Amino acid sequence: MGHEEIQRLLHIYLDGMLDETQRAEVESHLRHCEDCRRELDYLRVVARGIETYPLLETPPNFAEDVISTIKTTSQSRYALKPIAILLQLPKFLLITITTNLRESTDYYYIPIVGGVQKTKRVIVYALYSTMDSLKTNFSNNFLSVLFNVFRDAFQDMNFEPQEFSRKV
Amino acid sequence: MQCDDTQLVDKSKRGDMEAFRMLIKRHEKGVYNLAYRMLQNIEDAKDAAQEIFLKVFASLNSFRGESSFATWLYRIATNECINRLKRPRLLSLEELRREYENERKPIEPPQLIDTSPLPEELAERREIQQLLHKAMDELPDNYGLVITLRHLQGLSYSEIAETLDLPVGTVKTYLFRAKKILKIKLQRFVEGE
Repeated sequence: MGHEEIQRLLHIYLDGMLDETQRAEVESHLRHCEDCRRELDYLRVVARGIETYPLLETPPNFAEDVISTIKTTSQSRYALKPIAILLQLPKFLLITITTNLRESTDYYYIPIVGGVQKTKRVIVYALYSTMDSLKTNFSNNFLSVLFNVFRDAFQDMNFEPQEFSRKV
Repeated sequence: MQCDDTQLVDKSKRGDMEAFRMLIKRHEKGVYNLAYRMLQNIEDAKDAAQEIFLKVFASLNSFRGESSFATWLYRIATNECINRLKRPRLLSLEELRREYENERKPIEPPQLIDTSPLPEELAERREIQQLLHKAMDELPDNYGLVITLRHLQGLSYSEIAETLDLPVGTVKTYLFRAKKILKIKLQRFVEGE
């Protein structure tokens, strides 16, 4: 191995990740190369700097907050009226097929029973529009609960929650 | 009894929320710091870290243990942060004010020291560490990310490669270049060039 190659391996050597043969070669080179010894000295100081990089403390109760979010969303059980939903199916499909949002690769994570569901932007949009049509079939209370489930995704898409509430 | 990640994942899959809480506890600091490293904003990092663990919970059933849990977790974490970086972000008034003040702040020249051979205690000098920490913050994204995953989260080269979907050789190259940048800044500082 040449001098240049040894220099490229010094950081891995210091990291303890070289195999036995490479390590022996590097050490043998270090014995007679002052340049590499100096390089290694600098890398040691760099390694110490990396090691002492200050890490941020996680916000208090972080884990508990995540668990609480999961539990809250898992408990949201809604009994949908199947026929009303079925009647909206063509509209839902039409929107998903025709809107230019179908090109979007953005995903939203929507809380559902048992966790959260990864959902494409186009589906969220179609759900929003379909829910708007469903408002006559369900009580205001039901729709507002349902709306809250999707609220973050809708807000992210610049939908107007107030507008939706007014329609309800 | 202390459970390892795999046992905690199995229990979490069966709905044991205490096990999932322990998994979060074990990895929250790493994920939060990774998010901060990538997003450079405390609030965004907190929000992203929460989202990451929600996604992890939602996807637990798809985790088959082919890689380590940490590798899988950090892959979800880096993807989430990358997606967030693609979204346009509005600055709050407070952040705008801080950016404006930072821009106006004069850049202080580095303080030169005259120690030609590198003494042991150099590594422990506060200004040297501060210089290196600042240099770490300024590393190009990919280099900073591999340094974070390797030295702050303790992932192996192959785990980093799997997490970032890169060949192991590229991970080594990124680490080499990142450390070279840090070394050059250190060397300039020490030698006063």
